[in-house]
Amino acid sequence: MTPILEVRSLEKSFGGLRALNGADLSIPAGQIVGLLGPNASGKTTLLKTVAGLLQPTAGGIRYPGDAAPGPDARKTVAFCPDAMMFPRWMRVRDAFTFYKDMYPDYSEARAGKLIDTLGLEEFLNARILRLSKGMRERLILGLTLSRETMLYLLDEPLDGIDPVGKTQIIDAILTLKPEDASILISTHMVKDTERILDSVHFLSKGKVVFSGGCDDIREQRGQTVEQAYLEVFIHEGSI
Amino acid sequence: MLTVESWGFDFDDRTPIFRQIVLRFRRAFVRGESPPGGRIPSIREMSALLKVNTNTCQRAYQEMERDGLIYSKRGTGYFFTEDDTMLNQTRRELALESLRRFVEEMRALGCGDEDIVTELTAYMKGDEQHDADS
Repeated sequence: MTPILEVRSLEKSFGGLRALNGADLSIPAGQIVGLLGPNASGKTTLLKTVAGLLQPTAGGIRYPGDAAPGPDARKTVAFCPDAMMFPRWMRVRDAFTFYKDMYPDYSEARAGKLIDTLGLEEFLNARILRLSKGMRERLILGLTLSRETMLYLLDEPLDGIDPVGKTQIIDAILTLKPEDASILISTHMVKDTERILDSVHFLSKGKVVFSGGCDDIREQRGQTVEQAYLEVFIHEGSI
Repeated sequence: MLTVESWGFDFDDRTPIFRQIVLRFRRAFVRGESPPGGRIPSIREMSALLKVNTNTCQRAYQEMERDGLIYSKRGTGYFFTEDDTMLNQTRRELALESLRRFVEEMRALGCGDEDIVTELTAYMKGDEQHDADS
């Protein structure tokens, strides 16, 4: 099957700092894929570069349907927004209206299901910047998944979330992923996510150092994905 | 039909998840949790229920369909087979697997094969005695 996204030898430098150092990965259609790595391994930079928010220094990205990088590619990729960019006056309800006006692939039906699954109903009139960290993460996920597109990029969706929130977020990801679409989730919370992932890429110092299917890791190594992660990163000396 | 409530079990993250789902279905089938020919949840329902990826559930369903444990009817869903041979065969396979684990554990404890038989016979008798007392 042709992958939905291919990233080849991707490099990104900020001045003298190399955030991505020849990262390679490919994502098959219909899969939920984990981008796992410790803090400062380049996960967010990789997602932002794929989302078209950063220009790569070198390397290539092949987008879903061979879309050209830029506006066309952005139509095929939904990247989670940064909650801090919302203006002070904006309420949860306004953010959904904003998304509806902004993206032709916004789906009212999907948004309704997400508001329900994520428990956002009672916060619709709350100001976004006053939301707790947990509710803000749920809103960001709700907005991202309200678009009906081919590839979703989620940046640390479970970071700092209580157990109820984690369950709601995982339910939303599992039940609202369009069948042929793929989701790339960056996280360092391996244990919380390993059951919902088809495959994983481990990112260390801007490079993918290991890729594999989750059930293959269990079958071939007799390990949990978390154990494989610890083994790889302790060996790499990056934890 | 198997329900959401009856399903709950904990995964062992060291064993491929699709295998654990298959094993759970085989046990449900042998124990009669669902009658032969009974409907089972769709892949999407099962994935939401177990909170695992749909592809993982699909792999489990494919394996069970290939083995003849379940079959799909277009548009209506998945059902357990009505085949009695399958029931007996699955029961026998699961029983052998339990025996294998039991014998392995007894040997690891240092029991000889004759000891294992003696212990097991005595235990079964004791059990009957206990049942008769109560």
